[in-house]
Amino acid sequence: MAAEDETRIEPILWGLFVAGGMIALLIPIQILLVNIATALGLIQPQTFDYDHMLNLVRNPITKLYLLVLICGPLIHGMHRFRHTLYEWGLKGWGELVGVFCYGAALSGCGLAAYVLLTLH
Amino acid sequence: MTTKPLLKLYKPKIAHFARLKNPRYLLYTLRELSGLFISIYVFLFAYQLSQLVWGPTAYQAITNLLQSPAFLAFDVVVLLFALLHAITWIDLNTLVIPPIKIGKMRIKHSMLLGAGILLWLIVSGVVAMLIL
Repeated sequence: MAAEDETRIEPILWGLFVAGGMIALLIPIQILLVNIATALGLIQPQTFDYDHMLNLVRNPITKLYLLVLICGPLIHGMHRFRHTLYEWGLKGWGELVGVFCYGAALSGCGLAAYVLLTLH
Repeated sequence: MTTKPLLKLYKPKIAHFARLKNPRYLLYTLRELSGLFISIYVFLFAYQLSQLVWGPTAYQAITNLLQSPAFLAFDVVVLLFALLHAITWIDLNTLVIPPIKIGKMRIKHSMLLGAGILLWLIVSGVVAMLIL
């Protein structure tokens, strides 16, 4: 990537990183409810069963919420991990690291967008 | 006849993991790694949602797998990383905002941090009520 292009893209990536960091504040309550409390039987299992989830996901507001909840932290996390890998000595592999990290983030966002748009 | 001494290029030894011995850097590294764990969790959640497209059997299969003891242990680890991210993120945000004065009273950093954490807990509570 040309240095000029990189200079242009970096502020956008850092902007998405900050937005994603804010959205990631919702991850603890998400894990507590959807995963831990359900697995431990503290919440009735039908709360997140197929029919209930399908009804939830069909709501446009829920679609938007889930898309933001998935994409924000994913972009944030992968951007952060990219810089962690640089600090661990992989800066020389910058392009490969960038492709891996942002590729993973984009594939996750694409999957979420496809699912949410497919379910009517 | 004299022979030239062989010159060897100096290669500095970089201790990439030396920082882990310092508690402050260890916390910093854990905070940086929190992004990776949160990303893996979110990716798995997106995959779980994607199974809704394929019907109840596929969705139930992935849900049962994600509720297995191994994934429950993983969820606890991700929860700890997510909490570390949340608290350090709020702390960082209170540090970058300019000093606030109300009359002659200057708002302390600890008060801002407390208010930030309280706001985060309220928002989390509202989200929990909406989900349940």
